[in-house]
Amino acid sequence: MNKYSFTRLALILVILISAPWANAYNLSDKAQIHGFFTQNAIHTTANQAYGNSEDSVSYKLTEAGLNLGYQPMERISFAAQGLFRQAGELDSGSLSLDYGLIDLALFQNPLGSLGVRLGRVKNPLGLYNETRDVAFTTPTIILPPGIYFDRSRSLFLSSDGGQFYMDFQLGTGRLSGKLNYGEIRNDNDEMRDAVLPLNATGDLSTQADFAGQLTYDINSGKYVAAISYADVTLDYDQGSMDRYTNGTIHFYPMVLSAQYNGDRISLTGEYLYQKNEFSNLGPLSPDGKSVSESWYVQTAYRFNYNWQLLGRYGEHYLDQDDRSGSFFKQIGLPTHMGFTKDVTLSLRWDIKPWMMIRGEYHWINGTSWLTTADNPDRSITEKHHDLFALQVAFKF
Amino acid sequence: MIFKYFSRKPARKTLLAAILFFIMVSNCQGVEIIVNASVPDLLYTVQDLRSIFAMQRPIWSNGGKIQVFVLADNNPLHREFTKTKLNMFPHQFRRIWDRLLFSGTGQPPRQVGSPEEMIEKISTTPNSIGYAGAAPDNKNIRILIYE
Repeated sequence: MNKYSFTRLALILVILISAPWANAYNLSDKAQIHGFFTQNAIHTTANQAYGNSEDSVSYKLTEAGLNLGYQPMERISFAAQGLFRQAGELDSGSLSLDYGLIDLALFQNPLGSLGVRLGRVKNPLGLYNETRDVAFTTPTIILPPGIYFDRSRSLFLSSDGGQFYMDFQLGTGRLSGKLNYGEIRNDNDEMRDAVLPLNATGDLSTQADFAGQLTYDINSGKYVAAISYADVTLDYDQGSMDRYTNGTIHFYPMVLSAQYNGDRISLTGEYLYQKNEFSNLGPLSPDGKSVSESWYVQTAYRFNYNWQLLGRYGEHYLDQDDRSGSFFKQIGLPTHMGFTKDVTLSLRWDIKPWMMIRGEYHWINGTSWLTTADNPDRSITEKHHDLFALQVAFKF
Repeated sequence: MIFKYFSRKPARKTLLAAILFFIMVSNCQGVEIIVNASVPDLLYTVQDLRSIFAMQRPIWSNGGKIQVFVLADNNPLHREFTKTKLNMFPHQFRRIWDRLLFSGTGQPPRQVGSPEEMIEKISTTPNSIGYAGAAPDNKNIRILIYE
């Protein structure tokens, strides 16, 4: 831990604790400002996660956001969120517009609504993707490795375009749907390194694509079932000294989600089935189709209003027909790049409604989840690694 | 239900916490759902109310936008309200509100600092809904009837 990061962390903590955090800032009856701040400490017994974590502690996982909601008229509202994020070697600290949209409610009645959001909209994929950077909304510090594949975070995060939405009472529950169409963002090279793992130097560019989700929930989220789907096309432009050639990649992720939120117990399960198609990328990435697969089951138990214990087991395979990762051996990389199996135990303490501390342990087998930014030399990575993470989070 | 799991553990600390909690809860005089007088006087269901407080229902039958007011998640009156009136827990609403807020797809209810502020807001905000420890004596406020 370097002195600089410790001083900064301490300073931020002091500011946050002494600030009047009790309530959101209601600018007027029509506007609200909210925000969050999360600092993490990560330690791994092998391999690097979010910075220099091996036999050390990395503090390079920081997330902060500030958002404004403004509703000048009954059917028109605006919402925007600025996000600061630092994530190991992948992101040394950057500011971005997380979402920024105008929401037009085209139809409203007491049983439901229908409308469009135009601008930068978040992509729904599984239960947590839309708010994956906001600690209070996620089950754990490190999300399930396959469905919330950190290496493709930037790809599926949001789209510049629009979202059609609807929300209606149906039977004893509610049916809600979102359909996004727009240019999917892809702000870094991690996705490229994940699909073209042998020193690719070119660029992946995105196109306008679809992402959508249909959710049915009973008793305001006591029972939730959802299906999410996205259709993503990426064009690869060969770089200098590149062994891959100009080509195209298609991803078609589909996520099935189910959740029960009881008084004290929450049960969650999600399954990802993602079709991949590769064409014209050269001999190192032969033309063909594959299926990536991932699933997890998760149980959370609340002892009381403030303490929660969570356990999870999940698996992720880049190619379901090659679960041992033998393809990677053929191209001279470790076989454990093809999968990740993760056992997670997490303890969460909600000290105040605006302050939370969480600690967790991961027993991890496989390295498909690790970023190449943090682990540029894959030959020195190890198959098994333990990960310890500590988090402090604030919101208002 | 809360007492049940506290009493399962005989540890002294837990017992003390249970007693404190009991004193806290027993001081609550019950809770009523209150609305501004402009809200349509219909018979609502528990499901209607859950949807309203989950911010899933945009408007009343008069077309007015529903304005929801709540106290902080850890306020005893808020806990009492969610549990006894809606048979839900604060964390279940918080999950929904945070998802709306941080995905840019909605706003959470407006949070007020005290039961007195709640009564003031409901009496002065058309189409508003909230809750109070006892029926306030205010001509702009009505207790909401539901089945």
